[in-house]
Order: sequence, then structure tokens, then C-alpha cells
Amino acid sequence: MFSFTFQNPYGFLCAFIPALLNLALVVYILIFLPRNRITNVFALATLACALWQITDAFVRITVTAAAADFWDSVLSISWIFIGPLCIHFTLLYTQMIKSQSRIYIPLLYAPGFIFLALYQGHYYEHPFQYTPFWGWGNLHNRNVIDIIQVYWASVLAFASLILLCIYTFKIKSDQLLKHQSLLITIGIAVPTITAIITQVIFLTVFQKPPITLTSTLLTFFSIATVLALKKYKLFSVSDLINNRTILDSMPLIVFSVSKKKRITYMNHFGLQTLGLTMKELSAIDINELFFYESKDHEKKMNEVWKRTVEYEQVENIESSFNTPKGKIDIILSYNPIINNNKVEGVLFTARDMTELKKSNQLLIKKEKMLEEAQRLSHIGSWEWDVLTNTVLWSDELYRIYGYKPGEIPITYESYLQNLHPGDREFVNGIIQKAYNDHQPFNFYHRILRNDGTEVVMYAQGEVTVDKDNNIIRMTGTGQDVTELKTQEAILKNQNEELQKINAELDKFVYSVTHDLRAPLTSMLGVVEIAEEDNQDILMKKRLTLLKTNIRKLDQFILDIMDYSLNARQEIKKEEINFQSVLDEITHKLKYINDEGSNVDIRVKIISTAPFHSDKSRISIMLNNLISNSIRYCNPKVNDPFVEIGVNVTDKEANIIISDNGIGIGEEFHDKIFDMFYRVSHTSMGTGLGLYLVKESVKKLNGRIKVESQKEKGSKFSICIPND
Amino acid sequence: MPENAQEYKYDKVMVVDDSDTDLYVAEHYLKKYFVAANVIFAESAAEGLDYLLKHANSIEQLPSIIFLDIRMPVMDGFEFLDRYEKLPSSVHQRCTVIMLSSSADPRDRERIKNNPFVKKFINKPLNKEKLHELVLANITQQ
Repeated sequence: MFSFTFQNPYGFLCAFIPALLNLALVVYILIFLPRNRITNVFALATLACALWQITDAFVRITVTAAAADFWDSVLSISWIFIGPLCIHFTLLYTQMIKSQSRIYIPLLYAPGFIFLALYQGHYYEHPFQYTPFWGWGNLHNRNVIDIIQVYWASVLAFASLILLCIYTFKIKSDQLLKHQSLLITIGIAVPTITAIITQVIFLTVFQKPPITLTSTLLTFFSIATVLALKKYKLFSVSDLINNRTILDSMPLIVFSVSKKKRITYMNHFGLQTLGLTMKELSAIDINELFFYESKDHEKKMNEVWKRTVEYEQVENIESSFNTPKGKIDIILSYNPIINNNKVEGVLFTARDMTELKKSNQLLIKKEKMLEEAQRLSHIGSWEWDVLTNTVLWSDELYRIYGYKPGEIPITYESYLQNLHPGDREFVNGIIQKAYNDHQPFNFYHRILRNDGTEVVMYAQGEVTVDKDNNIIRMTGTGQDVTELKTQEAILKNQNEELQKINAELDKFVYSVTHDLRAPLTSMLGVVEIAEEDNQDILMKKRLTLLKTNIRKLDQFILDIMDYSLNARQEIKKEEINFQSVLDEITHKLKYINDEGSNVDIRVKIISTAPFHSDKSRISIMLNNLISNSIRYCNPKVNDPFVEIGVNVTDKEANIIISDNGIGIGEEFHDKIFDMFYRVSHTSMGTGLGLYLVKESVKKLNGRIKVESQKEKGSKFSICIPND
Repeated sequence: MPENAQEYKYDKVMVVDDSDTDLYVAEHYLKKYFVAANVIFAESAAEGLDYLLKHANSIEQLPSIIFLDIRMPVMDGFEFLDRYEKLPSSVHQRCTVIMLSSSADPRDRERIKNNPFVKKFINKPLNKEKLHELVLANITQQ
């Protein structure tokens, strides 16, 4: 039995080398391929192939026919079952059998056992023949059983081939799957066709013992299939991930309960949410877990349980759990666990609604607030679903249009219908424009309320587009601005009226000023001529007095004009060039008295930024202060002067006007800025000058400070913001 | 007569003013300080324009300086300037306009600044110093 001859080792090598390869592949499949029923059956088929090859290899090199028969019988299980394994693999791979049904397994394998028993029991003879090159081979005799066995195996292998061909042919879209299936088909086709030729046709037609070609090519099937499964990784998720992983990764509470109401399983999420361990849980009766609000509730829940046990799936049951963390609101689904057509228990899936309930309540509260806000501000909101042409109006918008909330369905057309007929085209134009250019819009328009009254609306809106820039919807608000608009119109009218009056008043002030001054200046001209031409000293003195008074009156008129303008005129900002303003003022002041003054005017301007303010008021300020310095110069000093220092920064202008004039006693400092206040009756002023300075500074948001001593001189410091 | 002692700066000067007193004052100074040999009085803007139009072609008859008041009845100084613009260019070449007014309206000043024909603004009343300054400035066309 165990003596072998290696005189003709070719048959042995042809079978044994691929056998080793196949054994290696079995190990490879078990270690590296994902585990599922397909790979399991595939590994088994590969193992069967390997055993068949080993049998064949040893049969070839035995010395006697009896020894060949022994080796063939030892592992005959392999070649007898290769047919069922092949079809089993095909059926699983092509998914032609439902995963749940198990009935086909005995049907597939049962004949194999009968054939095995009959072969092992030598129900028929096993004729072995020696061929010089190949060694021993099983020359099947013409026994019926033997023939049936051979044809049975061939038919199963051939059927697999056909099923695979059909399956491959049917795959249309998935090229990857098609390639995989094609490769497996070829892998099965090559040994199957070879086997049919060598084992069936050679034997039955030519009465020749089989050569080892089939054994060799069996490895072709394993390699092709491993390559196909490996290269085109098409294992379904369920092959790669087990059920427990799925259940634990779900954000759902999933647990199963036996028919006796014991909890048999709960997923990770469920345990975490409930704050329990599996150990604690297994001791809990399902009734302890549920929190029943009332007897009725308990009764209802028990009824649902009963329905589930009667094979019914029940969903969306609102309930609550008692947990160590406190009460948790849930929504439950009851799924009967049916195994082998019997209900074995109930699978519960539950969603934690606690947060959702809270946020729902918040949402309701916020919606109420929004509603309230809309009602108070007379703002309604709308959303136009362009695709379905339905418009959603807020309750307030309905009220603005004179309807009860939700009274009529709104479409774009019915919206236009509610507008004032005169505005329909205009509004349609704006909406169409936004429809095309997708830009936000706002406009005023009129509507006709349901009761026929006219309302002015302010509308705002924007467009939402999808990723292909197609318009999906428009949203916006409409505000009842009737009252606002009416008041605006009144205000506008009043403002225009006021501006008109103001302009007229300006004109009046200038005219009156001129008309009062014109005769005075004429008088002054004549008096000056008379004074110049007259040599009589007494007469000259009288004329000088006359002249002084005319000038005083003229100044008074100009001051009143300035006062009137300063009080009323708006602040007009412009860039101010201090040099030119001061030039103008000093030029004017040349003729302040007859001889021209001998007061030295010293100007020093430092400017680091342009200065913006109201020019006329700055002029009034400077003019009054400088003219005071000249007017009240100290006749006792040799070098009367007025020094004007201006320092401009980007924040403010600091102006200091100091002189060595007669000064003002400290007791008067509080009063000098008062209207019509004069320090002494001999003063030549009008009592308006410093008041005007103070008022102008005030108008420009500035500050003024005075330092002065009698007989020493005065210093006025002004600070005006630069804006 | 002063004519013999000193030469007049200009042969003719026009004063447009509705006030007799102001005309008198102007004439007095213009004559006394040898500014104008002849003072042409125009008691209204229209009268002044008439004169200029009439003598547009005889340059010697045209004044070198026109002293123009702003506020006058019927036609004011600005209206005068509008019409003056439409006079023949011989007039523009010969005459220099100086505003002589007691207006304190800043808008008047602004309009004067923007008018190409007006060379200066003088506050009334005209006197020795102002006239002196004007003569020194030598602002006429010649």
C-alpha cells in the first residue's frame, strides 16, 4: 500500500504541485479574505480540490492496482463533493438563493453521501489501469451508479458554469462586478470543460483512463477566484462589519426582549443613554424600565406588546423610560423577532426625544415671540416656493392684507391681485428682475386691503438659488408703513416750508442790514469829506464825534446781522485756510478808525493737517477778537500789538489771540460773554461782540477761555474740533 | 485848477449808484486825488448800460473804471453785469469793473468772486485810503 514507484513521476508531479499551491491558497483564504459564507464555501471547495489532487497524485505512483484503489478511496470524499461545493459557491455568489433558506443544503449534499457510501463500500468494482506515462488511473466501469455519479458531478459543475454565465451577462452597469464575475466564470469553466473531456468523454467514449490534466487545472479555479475576489473588492457591508458593530454604532436605543420580558440585549448607545450596564439590565423586567404615566398608558403599552407578539410591527409609540439618569422621553418601535417562523422575542428601537422635546418647546416659544414681534411692528414675512408657486404668509401679513390668518391660499398671481392696481406692473417688474438677476431688493408700494382701504407697504426680499444657480425660492418681509409715510410726508412739507422761511429770513436780514447801512455809509462819506476839508478845530472835533457814532451804529447793525445768522444758519463745513481768512479780516480792520491803527498784527500759523469747519463762524470769532484788541489797545505802551497764534492738528485747531491792550479786570471775566454787556459806558463796543464769539464757539462744539489783567493785556484761547 | 498842477490818472470813470450822496462822495474823491478827469454818473444800472452801448465804438468816450453798486432799484448790480457781458468786446477791453457797495451778504461776495469782469470789491464809503490803494494796485486794462 505504501510503496510507491517514481519511474513515471509525471502524473504525480502534475497533480501534487498544484495540490500544494491549493493548500496554500486555502490558508491564504482563511487568513486574508473577509469571512462570509461565500469565502467559507470557496475555502471548502479549494480544500476539496487540493485533496482530489493529492489523491490523484498518490494513485499515479502506486505500485499495484489494489494500492491505487486504496489511495483513491481514502480521499474519494473530495472528488465526490466537488460538484455540490461548486454549485453551492455559485449559488451564494450569484445570490440566487435566499440567505435564510437552508433547505437546499441537504438537497445538494445528500446524493454525495450516498455515492460516497456506495463507492467506499465497493458496491461496484473500481477498475484501475496503468498507462506508461501517466501511471495508475481510475478507469470507470459501466456500472450504472458509477455513471450516474460521474454525470451528477458533471451536471452540477456545468450548471454552475451556466448560472455564472447568465449572471455575468446580466450585469449591465457595474463594470467592476462584471469583471469579477467573468474571471470566476473562466476559473470554473477551464477545469469543468477539461474534466468533462478527460473524465467523461475519454472514459465513456474511448475507454481510456483519465490523465491528470483535470487535477492540474483545478488550481486554475482557485487562483482565478482568489484573484477575482481580491482584486475587485465587492464584499457587501455585512461581510465586513458584523451586526453588533452596526447596532453599537447607531444613534438609536436598540434592545431585544425575550418573550418572558427579560432584556437579552441592548446596544452600546442604549446603555450609555440609559446610564446602565448590561449586567444591571439583564436583571430588569421590561415593566420596570417603562415609566407609565397612568393605568391607561400601561394598558395601552401591554396591548402593543401583545400585538407585536402576534407578528405585528408597531411604530412610533410615545413613551418614557425610568433610568438612573431620570425620566427619558422616547419614541418606540416594536419589531417581532421572527426565527424559524416563530416569534422569539421583540426588538425595540427607541429614539431619545428629551432634547427634541425641549427644543420643540423652545421653537414654539420663539415662534410665538416672532409672531408677537411681527404683530407689534406691523411686519409680515413671506416665502415663495417658486417651483410649486405657493406662497407662505405669516399671520401678520394676512392681517395687514385684511384677511384672517390662513384665510386664502396665496400664489404669486393672487399676491399681485392684492396689490394696488396702479402698482401691479411696477412690483411685477421688480420681482421679475430679482427672479433673473438673483439680487436682493426693496421697494415701497401700495396694496388694497380686503376691505378696500389703501395701505403703503415697504417690501424687502432675497432670492435663494441651488448649486446650479437655479432659483428655488424668494423670501422677504412686508411692513405696513402707511402711518410712517404719512408722517414723513407731513415732516417733509414742514421741512420745505421751514427752509423757505429760513431762506426768506436770510434775505430779509441781508436786505435790512444793507438798507440800514446804506444811508449810514453815505453819511460817513460826507462827514469824512467835510472833516477833511475843514480847518476849524472845533468843527473838526464835532465831525469826529459824529463819525465815531456813525461807525458804532454801523458796527451794531453788522453785529445784529451776525447774531441773527449765527443763531439760525446751519453749520456749513468746508476747508479753511487760516491765512486767507486772517488776511481778509486784517484788511477790513485797517479802516477801523481814521488814522489807521498803529497796532501791530502778528500772525503765526502752524498747520499739520487741513482744517474743516464753518468758515463764517470762524470769521466772526476771529474778527471780533482781533478788532477788540485793536480797539482797546493801550495808548500808554509804545509797541501795541495783537498776536494771533493758530495751531492746527487733525483733531482740533487751537487759536490764541493775545494783546498788550488795556485788559479786562478779573471781576468782569464772568460777564464779558453776556449779551449786551459792556465793561464801561465809555466802551466803544456794542455789547454783542464777545457774545457772538461765545455763541459761535458753542455752535462749533469748541471751548473758549479768557486770561486778562487790567493794563496788562488779554489772552483768549479757543479750541475748535477739526471735522 | 488842479489839472494844471497834476495829471489825472484816467480820463473817464463811471459811477453807477442810485444814491446821490454816494455819487457826490465818489466824484469828490476821484477829482480831488486826480484819479478821473471826468466822472460819468449813472443813477441807475440801465443808464450806465445805455451809455456804454452808445459809445461802444468810440473808445475815448468809454470809462476806464466802472464803480458799480450792488443794491439798486429796478436793476441791481448783478443784472447789470449779466447785460454787460453781452456788450461789444470793445467795452470789455476798455473798462474795468469795481464793486462799490455796503452789502454784507457773503453770497454777494461769492458771486463777485466768480464774475470774470469784476476786479475788486470796495466797502462803502469810498475814502482817501481805499482810493489810494486802488490806484497803487493799477488794476485797469491798460
